[in-house]
Amino acid sequence: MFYVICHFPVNMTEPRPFEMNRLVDYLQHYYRKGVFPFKPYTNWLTYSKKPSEYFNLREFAFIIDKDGEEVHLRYRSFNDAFEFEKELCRVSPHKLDLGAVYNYVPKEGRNRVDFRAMERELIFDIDLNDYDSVRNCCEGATVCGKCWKFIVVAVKILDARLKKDFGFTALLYVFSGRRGVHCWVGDAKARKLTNSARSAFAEYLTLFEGDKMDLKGKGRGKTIIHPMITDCYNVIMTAENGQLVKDMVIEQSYLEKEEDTLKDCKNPQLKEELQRIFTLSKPESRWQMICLKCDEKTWRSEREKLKDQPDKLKNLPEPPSDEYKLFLLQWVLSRLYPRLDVNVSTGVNHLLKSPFCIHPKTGNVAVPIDAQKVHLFDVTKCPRIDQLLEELDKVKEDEGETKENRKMLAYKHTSLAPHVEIFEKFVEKTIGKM
Amino acid sequence: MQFDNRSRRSKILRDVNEIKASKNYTFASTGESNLSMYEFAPKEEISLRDFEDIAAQRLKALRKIEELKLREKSYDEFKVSMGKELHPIFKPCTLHQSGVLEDQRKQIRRDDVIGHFALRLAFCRSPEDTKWFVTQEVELFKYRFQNEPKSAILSFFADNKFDAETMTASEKESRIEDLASSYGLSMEKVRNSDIWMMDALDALELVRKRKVLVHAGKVYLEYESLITIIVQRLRATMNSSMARANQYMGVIEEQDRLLPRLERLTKGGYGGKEFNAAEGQSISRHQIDSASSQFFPLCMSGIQSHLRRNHHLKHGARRQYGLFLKAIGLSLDEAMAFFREEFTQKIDSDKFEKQYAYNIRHMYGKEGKRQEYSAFSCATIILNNPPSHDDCHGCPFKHSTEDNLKSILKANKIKSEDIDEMIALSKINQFDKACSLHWEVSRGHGKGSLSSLITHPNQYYELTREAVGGHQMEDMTDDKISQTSCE
Repeated sequence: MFYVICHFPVNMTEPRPFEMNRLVDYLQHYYRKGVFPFKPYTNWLTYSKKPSEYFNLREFAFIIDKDGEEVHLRYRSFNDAFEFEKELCRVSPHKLDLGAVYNYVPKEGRNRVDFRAMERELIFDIDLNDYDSVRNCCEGATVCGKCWKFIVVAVKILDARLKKDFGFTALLYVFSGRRGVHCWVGDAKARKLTNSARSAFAEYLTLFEGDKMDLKGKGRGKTIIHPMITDCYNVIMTAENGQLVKDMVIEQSYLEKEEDTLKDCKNPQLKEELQRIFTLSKPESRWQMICLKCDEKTWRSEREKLKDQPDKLKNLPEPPSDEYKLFLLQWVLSRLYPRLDVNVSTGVNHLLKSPFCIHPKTGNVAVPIDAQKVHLFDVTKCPRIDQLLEELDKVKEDEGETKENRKMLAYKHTSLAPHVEIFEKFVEKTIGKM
Repeated sequence: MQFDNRSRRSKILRDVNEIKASKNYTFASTGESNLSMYEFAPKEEISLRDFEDIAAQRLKALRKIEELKLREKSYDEFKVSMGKELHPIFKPCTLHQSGVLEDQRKQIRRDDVIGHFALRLAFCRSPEDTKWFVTQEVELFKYRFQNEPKSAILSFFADNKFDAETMTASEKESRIEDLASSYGLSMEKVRNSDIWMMDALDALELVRKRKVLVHAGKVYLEYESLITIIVQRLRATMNSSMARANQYMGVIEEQDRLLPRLERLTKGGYGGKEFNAAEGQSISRHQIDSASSQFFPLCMSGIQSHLRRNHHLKHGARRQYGLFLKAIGLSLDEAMAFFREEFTQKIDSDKFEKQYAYNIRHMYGKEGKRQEYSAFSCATIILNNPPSHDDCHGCPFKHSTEDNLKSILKANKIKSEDIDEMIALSKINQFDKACSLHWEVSRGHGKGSLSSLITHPNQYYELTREAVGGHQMEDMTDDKISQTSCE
């Protein structure tokens, strides 16, 4: 316990814009001063094996900026943690991507005929871009707190499925630096999955083809709603005691226009009821009424509430029929179920932006976030490379501690620290699994 | 290239010697299960005679299966007929019954494996053969699997490294709702049937389609999906090993001994008989028009009218139609004249000689490899070389759009209820049934009059000729026909 936990003054003013032209400068300091958490990072990729068995076989890709053009340097590999750190400090690449673990050391073996990707973490990519058809607050690259809630839902669902259905435990969620989240599954079993297993798992989790939702699953005649779909619905409806879904329904104005909802309703009786519900003026009360008619849990808790008031109890509607329930399930999932980019997940050798890499346009660090607290993460306050360096300078001025310790664990003195802690917990889990 | 061949050859010879040197072993399982995944070929000596007999018996059984599968409408009826008609001719199917002596059982299991591998060799040499064989074998396996008692299935799993076990009643009860809703079954049904647990990685296709309950990395399978999984592996093993065997075929030195025997087995395998240049019947080019309207199946009469209309045929149609005509007795000279007369209405005869004459001589085995080509079977037409939009070959039941098919059949003066039935059959991929129905109604014989299914255009043709007694053709002289066709 040789480091000090620091408290930073909360920055009350509006953050100043990121100066992209100083990026090269920032990057050098970011790596050389050890703000990048080398130790836990290389621990992770070593998976407590000999470096020659795993770390050395891993492909890294450096993306460097050459006169304004991105140049990809693929199949980089390093003997050990030390060489990796040295090279990263020397090159200070624009971006850092992680590839697969190969059967030969990538930089030497990549021309061999039998050079093959053997293992890599199972990865998922969720990007707000893919939500444009249901996202009414922003468009394209802009992201606000309202949009972030789509990510919150996606992480909750992905987390439930990966744990409950596939039995994975070592999960890491990383903010991509701009408008998405990557999920890394580090369990040994997940790393060993073949391409076809990855695509099977990813398709199992995919409910959309384009913007069309297909709950039945491919090639299925009867309308059988798979229990995992019902569970996803329950996850959404119960998140934050129902507050999350309610907020989203209001914020994304899903209940403003009657026809948006009615067009998907085939049942004439329900249609009539919905029309009546839309005569209520406030979207909040519309949502409440719809839940009462179509969501079993809402209906039950309402009945529980009214059980001592017989005069009110008799006004309680009928318990939701299967058809009503199915309607709301489809209504909710078609708007909030995560849009996964399947292509990212299916290839063992797919490159993905590494955690703690810097987003060159925003300066944001790709920080790990806690799946239980995704809703507390504020995109606009994501640790930014320039601010981290400032924080570090400030600590130095204040304390003037010896230089050696500082370099090792510089990140602990910045607002990156809590994110590194989340990361370390994940690393422990992957290593504990060996 | 040469080196490749040599190294491959030496590897195979090494393998052969290794097999010869290795100890004979009884390859059929000795455990309780009568089933085999056929993952290891037998390594014992066997007389050619036995080899042939066992293979022929199995082939007979597979043909029976194909027949029953086509004949019976539901799987239950199929099972009943299998019991009645297959069991007497195929002993491995009776192994699960009591009263089989231990020695007998061993013998039958051995024959089961030998028969399977013998036919693999025989059927590995063309993709269509392989496909047919795999389909029937899989059907046989499924049927036998269902007859196995649970204890035998468990020992079969252990033998074949299927890591599967059944859920206990209390395990089932703990997720009864999820199980029931995954399969669309009632909870009662779930309670009363076996649910098998397996690693999700062994059931990827079912996971992908969300057809099974997935929990903690395992899948929970009811009987149907369990069979799907096993059959998938069986199919994959067979396909890859037969592809490999096909490569080896050229290298093993069996031209005189084994190959002719294998050849004999597949000849007349699935397509009934082969149609080569017809013996004893001939047809002149002037008779084709009338023969087309009287005797030809839809696929061929379609090409004929396309030819008359457009005076040209693309390669796919030339081949499909040319070999068909050859097999009904059109001689090379007649064929040459027939196509020349048509084609030269659009192109000059120089061009015809340059571009098409070779092609026609080739079909008659006069050019190139000088191989005697047989007419395409329905399987070939349906499986290979599908027509693009401006082609006119293929099988109308398989390749035409519903609207096109409807108008062709209407022009054929088929009653609309029959048209609907044919279209329904083609929609469920029963093209042979649709074509057989076409034969029955268009020739006025009435439904159900045909004793076998149409699996070859030339079979269709011969059946029609037989039905009309063949005399009408003889009645017409060339002159008369050429007159009528000129009009």
